[in-house]
Amino acid sequence: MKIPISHKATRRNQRWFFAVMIVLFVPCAFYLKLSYSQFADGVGRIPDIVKQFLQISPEDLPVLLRELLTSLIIAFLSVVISVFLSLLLSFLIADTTAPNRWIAKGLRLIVVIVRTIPTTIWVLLAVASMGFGSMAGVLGLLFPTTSFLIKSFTAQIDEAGKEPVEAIRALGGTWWHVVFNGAIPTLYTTFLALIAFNFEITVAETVILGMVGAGGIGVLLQEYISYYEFAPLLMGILVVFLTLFALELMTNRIRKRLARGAR
Amino acid sequence: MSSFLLEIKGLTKKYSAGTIALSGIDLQVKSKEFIAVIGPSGAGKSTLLRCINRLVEPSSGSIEFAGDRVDQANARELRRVRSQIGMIFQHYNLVNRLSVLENVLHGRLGYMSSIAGMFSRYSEEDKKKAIALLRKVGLENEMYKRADELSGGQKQRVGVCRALAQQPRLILADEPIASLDPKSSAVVMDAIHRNCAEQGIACLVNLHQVDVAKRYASRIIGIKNGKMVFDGPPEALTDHHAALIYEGKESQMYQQPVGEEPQDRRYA
Amino acid sequence: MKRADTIARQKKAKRLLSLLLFVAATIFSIWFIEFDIAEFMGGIPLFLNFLFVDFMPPNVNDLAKYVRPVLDTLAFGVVATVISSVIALVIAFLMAHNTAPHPAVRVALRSVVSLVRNVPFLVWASILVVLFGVGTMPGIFALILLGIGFLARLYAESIEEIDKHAVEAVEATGATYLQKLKQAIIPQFMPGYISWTLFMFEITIRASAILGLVGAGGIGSQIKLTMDLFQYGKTATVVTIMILMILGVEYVTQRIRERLL
Repeated sequence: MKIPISHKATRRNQRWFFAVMIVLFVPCAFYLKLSYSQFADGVGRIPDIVKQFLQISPEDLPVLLRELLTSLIIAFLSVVISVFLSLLLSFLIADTTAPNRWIAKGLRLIVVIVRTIPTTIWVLLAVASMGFGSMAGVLGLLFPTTSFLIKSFTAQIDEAGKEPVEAIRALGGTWWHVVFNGAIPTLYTTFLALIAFNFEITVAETVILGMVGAGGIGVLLQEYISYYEFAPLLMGILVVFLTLFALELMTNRIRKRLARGAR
Repeated sequence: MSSFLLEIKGLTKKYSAGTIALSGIDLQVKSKEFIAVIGPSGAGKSTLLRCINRLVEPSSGSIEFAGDRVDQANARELRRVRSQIGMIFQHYNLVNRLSVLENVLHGRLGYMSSIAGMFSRYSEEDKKKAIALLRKVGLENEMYKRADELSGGQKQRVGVCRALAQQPRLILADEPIASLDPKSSAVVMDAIHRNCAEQGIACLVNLHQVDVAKRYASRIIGIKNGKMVFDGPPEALTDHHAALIYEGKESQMYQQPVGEEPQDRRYA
Repeated sequence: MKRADTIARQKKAKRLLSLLLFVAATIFSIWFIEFDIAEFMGGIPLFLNFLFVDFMPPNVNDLAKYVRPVLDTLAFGVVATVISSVIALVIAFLMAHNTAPHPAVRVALRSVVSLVRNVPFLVWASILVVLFGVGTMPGIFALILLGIGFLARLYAESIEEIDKHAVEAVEATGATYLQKLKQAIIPQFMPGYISWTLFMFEITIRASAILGLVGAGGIGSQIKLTMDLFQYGKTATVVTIMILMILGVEYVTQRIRERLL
């Protein structure tokens, strides 16, 4: 008999994980009935589309940049409004500063539900209610953005602990004193980093959501795709890529600084 | 072809930042020698050991191990040389999520084909020998535990077994007891010393405690600022010599240096 | 005393300046996209009214019809997660700096992955719909691209974070590159791999909401369909189903994580 060598529980867990992956994968792959001819047709179309892509021209660049600015503004405005809303609501929710436990619990539940609904659906609903345009974009983004910020803010407030809050309470300070003299000054930099991070996510989402009618560069991209105008589409993709890439670099630096500050 | 097991000539190591870790080290090691390398932290002890099996690339100089020029070896030759040199580390360097036995068997990888080693197809004989080694250091009940479930002293004994499993001709031990309490330190040093003596393995062990070095070594080498400043039998190492080697860092002579950063400066 | 005064004054001036900049940016923004504050404020009650009146009560007549899209979405998730995790795994080993065979390979792959990740998912999905036509295929491929962009980066970060000293020890025994990979790196990387792969599965369920919009199948297409027909009661039902799916998958993956790690 062979001598076993491995740690049994670790190996069993890993085998189990991969087994489940395979057991689920095979029937799912058959269930989806992916047809080879559809695949081959699609792949056959690639050279043609690449050729069209390569006729890239800067002709539409001014329009693209203008719409990119619109996208950035939509993201900016929704983040600004969200910051005000979530600052207020976070202090009502966080354990250390909540004035009423039951209100806090109720608000927490609402935040969870709002967060679970994907951003796309919020924007879709906003567009259906307000009509196409930037304002629907701002309104639709408000919900996921605010719920994200509330969640991050409350976590930070709770982490900061009870001491500063109790110190102000002991001096006879009101709830407003606690918020504006105790919590906000101490958490100022952390909040700024979170807001910057949130802005990156929101810009990425704004680009997508333009495609469902919420204004900005996404509207243009959607038009190019539906009219098969691949030359300007590639230009648009490049603009989006460079913007998101630059933003990612910026927030990475902010995140690193935040990590250093936390240590 | 020299009569020495290991012969180092003019070994120099310059790091890219410009610090000179070693300058012109000459050293001959005969088989079965048990050599303690002493010196303050940052003197270049770790770099010296790591140059021998080229975990650190030497800048210049020659290293000859059992007739092979290590410094000129290609990848395949280097692996063959490494398989004959066991290594023990200050922080044990076990693969935490594998079993103790698997960690010991890693010592056999250098003797197996790439594919067989990948899929852990160790021979039954290798497994039996590995278990025997673990029994010898008193870890036979721990062999199916995961490496991260062990205490520091136990982990280092596994590290010793991994080096011995290679059936090496030379063992390089880099501060093997610097992270251990005195009791575990004695157990680990005894295990290294006894096995090397029994199996005729030469050993180079970095230590900063002079008393430990004197107790075990058949020969002591002192290193300071990348240069060899002492080479002789333990009896010849007087307090005067020791004081010279550790000049300005006397506090490190008998205990673990306080405030040493384990991550970044370990190899400097 | 004077110096403290100047510093305080400078700080004050700086704060005032950033405040002014912020106000200017906001005013410019409002002007540039013709943001009508009154209309916006008026739109909020209308929106809430729309949510709570037009959508209520949820119309549950077609429940049986939604079974298939739910299964589709789950199958999408499984297939896309498995395929992208395999591809991303290979890419991650080639682009993590402690396992990359050559720096040039690393840099090249990093830029490709960054491109895949930073082109919005919906753009990929739309292009794939143009290529393969409406149906499940573009949806699957879009999710796989999303997964590759997302997982390759996270896997590579996990690989770079593992204990390099254990790897060094295995290297010192004379192990080959492949042995080092399998015996020292992969065992340490497993927790990261399992955790991120499970997370990817959660993301595919959320992403299927987007996929439906471009006709790439899944539960998202039911949302689009019912809204286009103004059957908001049905939309409410579909959205509820989707929320339950997301929460259910999150619960299951969380349990698996607790058991395995």
